[in-house]
Amino acid sequence: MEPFPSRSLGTRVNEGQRGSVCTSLFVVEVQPAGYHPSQRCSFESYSVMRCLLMPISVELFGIARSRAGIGQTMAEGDCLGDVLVDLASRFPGLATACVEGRKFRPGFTANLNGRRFVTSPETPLTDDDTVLILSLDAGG
Amino acid sequence: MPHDVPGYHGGYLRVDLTTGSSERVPLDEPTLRSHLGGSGLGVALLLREGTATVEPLSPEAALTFVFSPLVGSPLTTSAKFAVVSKSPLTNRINDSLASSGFAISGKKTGFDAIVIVGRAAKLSILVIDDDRVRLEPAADLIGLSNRATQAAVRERLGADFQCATIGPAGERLIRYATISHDGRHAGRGGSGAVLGSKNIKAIAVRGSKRSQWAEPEKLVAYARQLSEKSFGPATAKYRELGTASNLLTFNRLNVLPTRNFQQGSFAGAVAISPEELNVTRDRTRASCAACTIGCEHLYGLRNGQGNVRLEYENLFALGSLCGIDDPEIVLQACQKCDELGLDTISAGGTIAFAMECAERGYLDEPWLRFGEGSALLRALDLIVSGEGLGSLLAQGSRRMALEIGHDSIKFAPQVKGLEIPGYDPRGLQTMALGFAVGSRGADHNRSGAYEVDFSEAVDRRNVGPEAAVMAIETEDKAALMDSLILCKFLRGVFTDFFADSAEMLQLVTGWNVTARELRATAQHIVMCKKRFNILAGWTPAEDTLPERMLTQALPDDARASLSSKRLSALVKAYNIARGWTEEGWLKEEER
Repeated sequence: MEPFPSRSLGTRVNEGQRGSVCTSLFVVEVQPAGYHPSQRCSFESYSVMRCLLMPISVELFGIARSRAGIGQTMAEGDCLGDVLVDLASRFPGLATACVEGRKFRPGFTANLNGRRFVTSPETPLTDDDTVLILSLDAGG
Repeated sequence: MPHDVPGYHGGYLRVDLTTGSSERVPLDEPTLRSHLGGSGLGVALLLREGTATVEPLSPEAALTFVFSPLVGSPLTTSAKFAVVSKSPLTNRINDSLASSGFAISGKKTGFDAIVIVGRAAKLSILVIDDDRVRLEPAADLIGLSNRATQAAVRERLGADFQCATIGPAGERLIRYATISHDGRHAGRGGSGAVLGSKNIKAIAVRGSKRSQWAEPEKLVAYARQLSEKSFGPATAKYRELGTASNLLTFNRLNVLPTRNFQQGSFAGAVAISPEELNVTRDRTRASCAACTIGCEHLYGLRNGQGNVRLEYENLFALGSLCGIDDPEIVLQACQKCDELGLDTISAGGTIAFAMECAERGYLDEPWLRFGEGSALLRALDLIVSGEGLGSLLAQGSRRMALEIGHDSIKFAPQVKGLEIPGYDPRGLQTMALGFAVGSRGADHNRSGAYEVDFSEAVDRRNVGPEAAVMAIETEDKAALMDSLILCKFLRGVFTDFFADSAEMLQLVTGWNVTARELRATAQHIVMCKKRFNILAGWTPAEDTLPERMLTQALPDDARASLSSKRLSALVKAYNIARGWTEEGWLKEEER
């Protein structure tokens, strides 16, 4: 699976400016209505464009996806807790089901880049990271 | 006295189909307390019957239907029964569980278990109406699907009978035939063939005897709390999406078995995912009796031929494993397996294996190709008809590989003969251990070791021996859940499963049982399964994975690689942690 859409989402943040002046726009949200899992996030469907200091790609699965109404988005933050707070502020359904403050509610977890499972809010993130939000229970 | 133990009737019904006789056999309290019910009690009864050392499809082999102390109680998800036998697929222990009204009515006959030996002279229905037992001819049911059989039996006997049936696959002794009840299946390991070998098409039960509970008021209050918890977030996945929602997650993590385990991700995953089906198809939900979770999600077929229960295991086995990305075909294949009475995992695994053999030129079956929906449906029909390739497919992938040769056993997707469920062991290596040491073969229900892989406790692609203890914990929990019996989808609601189980069991039976005792009981049950397997001919060489898994990394994830040496180290750590010899033999005092 590719990470976020290959299409450019705005001008790049200059490395030296990260954390200070925002010089670029990054696309963040997709309208829940009409979302289809076979679609990648399309540029046209973004409803809000937000200025991000540290754009983190986020993919949602299972309950997290159904409650947020989207499969992919971007969020801001230097650590997992920041990302969860950002997501919760934008997706109330996700907040109710999966997120409590800076942590996951029981039954949910995150995976970094398809490799490592993480739950600590202090888990550091870089802008190369993709955070997968999953149900902890993988029973089939 | 045994019958004084609340939650139990204190005896089992033993039916000898050859002689046409039946008797009530008492069960003493120590036996009940040390094996509980379900899988645990079933294994104990099979050991008592000497089934480990006989051919699984012979008249001498016992087949047991086992209830449990919690069946009939108000505890959610407790309406379950275990079918325990020697597997004709693996020649090892086989305990399969199914749910719903058969469990409740079966226990109300006044027995804690039904043990069937012998063989009826002709295809029959075994009718157990309280303590009255009889055989009825079933010639008119020959070849009928599970659904049609259940309708016909209830039409004949009355709607207050609950029945467990076999489809055409069980009649024809397909080694991975299921026993079906109300759309649910005791699915794995071929218990349907065992029932078929006894010339029994259906077992119909009706009863009027309720077992007592030690503390009914407290039990009802506890059950109410448990039901409330079961509506919460811990079961939301099952309730809202069903198990099929694993598909896209596993695909993303490159652990979705695809094209006979040649890949860990499937380009057609989205097309067959429940997220897609929810948008494009009618969907309904259903629950087993006495269940507040409601995990069953049924999707409508385009051809108007009804709704089909879709689980993750069906979806992967008849979808990605065979390279099928057409949801209509996958649903039709699921429906066909349900009606014929075929285990979907073994059917899909065996067909996927045959597809790879055909691609390699080991089989002269040019029609059988990955991604060909018509080939999948045709192969399922052939399995049951026995025509052409069907007679080979009906044996399962291990026997098929041994017959085909060309070293195809190296990529036959099985452990101990049981086809591997939908977790690629190279990317989920604690689960790899669970598969390797599983008493009934590669199995996601007797080991929940994938939970460890889905945590921070291990690096799932580079698991070390420290994972063995964690794998054991999941296996012990499963042994206890399968013996109490409770649905595993409930496990997330417990804060301390062993302590909560002790409280439930105490309220039902009055035993002053503790979490510590139940841990020991679970370990004892696992040990009994091992004892059965040793008697049946188990050797340490069986506790491994197909060579493909140990020599080839997943092509889409090079780090997902598991060597034979590392798996051996895991198995050794497991055996030592179990208190067995390094090779996995029981020590003298446990034999």
